[in-house]
Amino acid sequence: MSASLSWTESTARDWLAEVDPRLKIAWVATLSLLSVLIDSTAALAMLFVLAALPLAGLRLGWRAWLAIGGVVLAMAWSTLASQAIFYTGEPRTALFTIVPSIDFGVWRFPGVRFYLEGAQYGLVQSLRFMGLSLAGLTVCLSTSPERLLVGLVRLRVPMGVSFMAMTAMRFLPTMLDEWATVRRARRLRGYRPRRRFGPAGWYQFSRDELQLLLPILAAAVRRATALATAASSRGFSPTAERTFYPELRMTLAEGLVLGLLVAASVLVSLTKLLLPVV
Amino acid sequence: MKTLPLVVEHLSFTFAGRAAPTLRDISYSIEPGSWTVLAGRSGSGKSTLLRAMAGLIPHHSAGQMQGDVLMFGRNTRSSSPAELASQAGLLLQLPDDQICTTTVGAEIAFGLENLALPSEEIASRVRESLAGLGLRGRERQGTQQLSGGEKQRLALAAVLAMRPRLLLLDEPLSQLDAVAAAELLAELARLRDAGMAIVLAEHRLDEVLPYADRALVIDEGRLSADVAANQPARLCECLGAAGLAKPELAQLAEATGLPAVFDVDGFLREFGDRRPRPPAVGRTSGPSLGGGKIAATDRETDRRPYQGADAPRSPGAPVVIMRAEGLAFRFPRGKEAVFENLNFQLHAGERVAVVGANGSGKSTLLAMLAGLLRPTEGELAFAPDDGSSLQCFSAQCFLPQCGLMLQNPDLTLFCNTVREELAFGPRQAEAGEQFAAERVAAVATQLELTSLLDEPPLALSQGQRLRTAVGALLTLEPRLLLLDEPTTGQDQPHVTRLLAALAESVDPALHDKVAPALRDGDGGRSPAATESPPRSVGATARVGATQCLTFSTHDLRSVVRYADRTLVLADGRLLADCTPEELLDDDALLAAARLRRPPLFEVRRRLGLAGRTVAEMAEELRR
Repeated sequence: MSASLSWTESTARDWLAEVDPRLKIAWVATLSLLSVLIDSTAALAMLFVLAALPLAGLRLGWRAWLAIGGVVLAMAWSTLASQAIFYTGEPRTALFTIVPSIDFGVWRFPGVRFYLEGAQYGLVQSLRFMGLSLAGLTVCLSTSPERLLVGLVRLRVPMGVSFMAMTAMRFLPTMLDEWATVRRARRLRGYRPRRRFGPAGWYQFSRDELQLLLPILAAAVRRATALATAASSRGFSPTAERTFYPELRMTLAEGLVLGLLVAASVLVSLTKLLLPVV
Repeated sequence: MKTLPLVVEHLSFTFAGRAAPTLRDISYSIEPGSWTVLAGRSGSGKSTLLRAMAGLIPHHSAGQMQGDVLMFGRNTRSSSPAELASQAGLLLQLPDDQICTTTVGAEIAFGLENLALPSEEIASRVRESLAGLGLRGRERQGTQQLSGGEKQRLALAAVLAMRPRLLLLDEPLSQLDAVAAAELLAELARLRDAGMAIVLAEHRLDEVLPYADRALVIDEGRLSADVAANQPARLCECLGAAGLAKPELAQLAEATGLPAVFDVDGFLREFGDRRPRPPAVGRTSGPSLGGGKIAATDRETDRRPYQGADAPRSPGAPVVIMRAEGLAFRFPRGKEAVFENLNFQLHAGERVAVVGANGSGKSTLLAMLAGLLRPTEGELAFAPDDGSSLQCFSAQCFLPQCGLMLQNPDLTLFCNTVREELAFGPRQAEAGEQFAAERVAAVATQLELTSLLDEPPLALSQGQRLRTAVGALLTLEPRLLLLDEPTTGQDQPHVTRLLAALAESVDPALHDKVAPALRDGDGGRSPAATESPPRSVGATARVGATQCLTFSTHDLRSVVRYADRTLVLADGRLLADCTPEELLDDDALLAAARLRRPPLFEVRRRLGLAGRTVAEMAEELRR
């Protein structure tokens, strides 16, 4: 269950798994830069499609695809709707009214409307965010934590930070498994969720879910201590010199793609600096 | 001058924030090519001592250390753990906690990278270790896909790849079945013979003492005894003084007036050259030898032995609680079935042990019996307590009546106090606060939790947490209580007390009671099912009203003591449905199921004894 959205050696097709992690990191970094620099909806939509293309290299079950699609749609809709409703810029065009304005005499409730310009702004923001999220997800699901560690260290990220990132990836599936186990244990003890409706029911539901964090956090603390002990006893030190077993050798094709990414970043940055209206 | 692997001089350590020291003035030394066992109760300080020996204390534990630890002449105070890593390897209890990476190859390479070895050297050692592990060609396999036993072997291989001269092991057998444990011990013996110094902390003394040269007994942080393993009588005395159970063979030797021994051959030598009698059928019921735990287990043997599923039954056939027909399970993306075509019934009044090697599907089967997993093939039917017909799979039908304790009890404790934990089930069932309070009080009394009711469950000791987790199920009054590996990673006294209490709560007389509506064979599908509900079956005066106890375990000693029927799983099949004695007497069955006869039962087999407790066997031998 937990492995459906975390790295395993079979989550990515070989061609994607073998791509140099430095190129993958550069890919995410370039997308981040371009997402910030580009304002045009059409260009951002293209960027989003580009970011989503490598997802084709993942081998996920239908549940995982459903989860990714659901999260993307939920993020897009919530950003778009919130921006459309709370848009304060001018001019603005109300597409429809959700709550009409009411005159209380001394004060007039302005009403709640869905604005076209706000929706457009929300779409731009969600395209930026979703593209980056998908690119990051693709990198995490297609790269073994060990290769990612080497990639980060080769890019001069401090060893301590890189190792923490790798460990987080290593233990994410375990924590998800434990979360599922705790829920299973609660179910075995006759738990019946949300028997009450309305705010009280939601409060109870939230309280019940938060309660589950107790054993998970306790297990996480115990595991973190054990892992630190194990790593230290095997000579790990974030500051000491060490070698790396996975060899990273960038192929010619990967080098060319990296060059293209750098060129695109430079070109767009210069264009933005010299022609700020684009 | 010879430099010893380890010299511990007046070592004391107090964790920050604690008033009492965990280790108190401990001194000893370790010779090269020796095997030392650290024995002590849970919480006695064994793990802390191992960490101090590995040089992790004081560098990685906040607290105050006095005295010195010298590893190959280097003081661990002035050397960092990273510097000491090439000299000493530390293997922890749970392999999941010490595997730092996600693939088999990367895990072996991790320590070698930390030693800054060149990548060619790392590659060569990784290949060598994989071949030794029997995992050649699986370098890129995910560590999460390995079984518990494979993970433990991988963790050991990763440590050994660093070629340490001193190996420290913290309860390495706790997650392993008997065959995997024997393989690990044989490998350690080979390393010891090659000159490595081995220090091993373990509860399973029956299995490790035959290999050991020496035992250090730790009691409340003190070194209470330092005894050579070839002085078993003295060692047994020291173990007893520290509150530890003596190995069963030593108990048997003592009870028969022989000198204490730890290994089967030694016992047989001491016993003399007797001609083995043919294996006995049935068993004798010799008188108990006296008080304490032995007497408690003797009471267990006074029950009528279970006759096996296919044995001819009296006209009053036992009440069926659950029936499995052609049961199969396959994980959604799994290539092979976990098990196939399982057929068995669980009856009222039974204590059933599910046994099998690591990865044989025991936990999956229990989860299915509890209604957590749906069978991919076959039918699982449960008899509701209201006397109606057996019902096919429905989680709603199963959950209130089946209690399953998962393998890690800590993950089942999510309330703020033991009282809330125990009352959780009755409250969810909206049974009323008074009813919940009554159930909590009754179960707390039964499991000796009364004085702990207002304590946070996760702050309790290991045994208390285990009892709380079971108690939280018992307050739901499940008719079928399922325990997944209650013996794994637990102190033997904790498990003994718990299983004894639970086994006693199942009334064997229920097995003989006839419920016309739910007779074995017709599955309660007769019209009488609705006419005469057998409420009396469930109406026992015992706390918990548990009618059937089913537990999975690697520990065949617990099976013999607390079960009267055994389901043997191996290679996805139900290999046997028999009594514990039948299992222990069948060499072929044990081998097929990758199980090993415990030393006491090896003696029983080789001397042709019929008893199944130390007391019964001793009585036979004396005769």
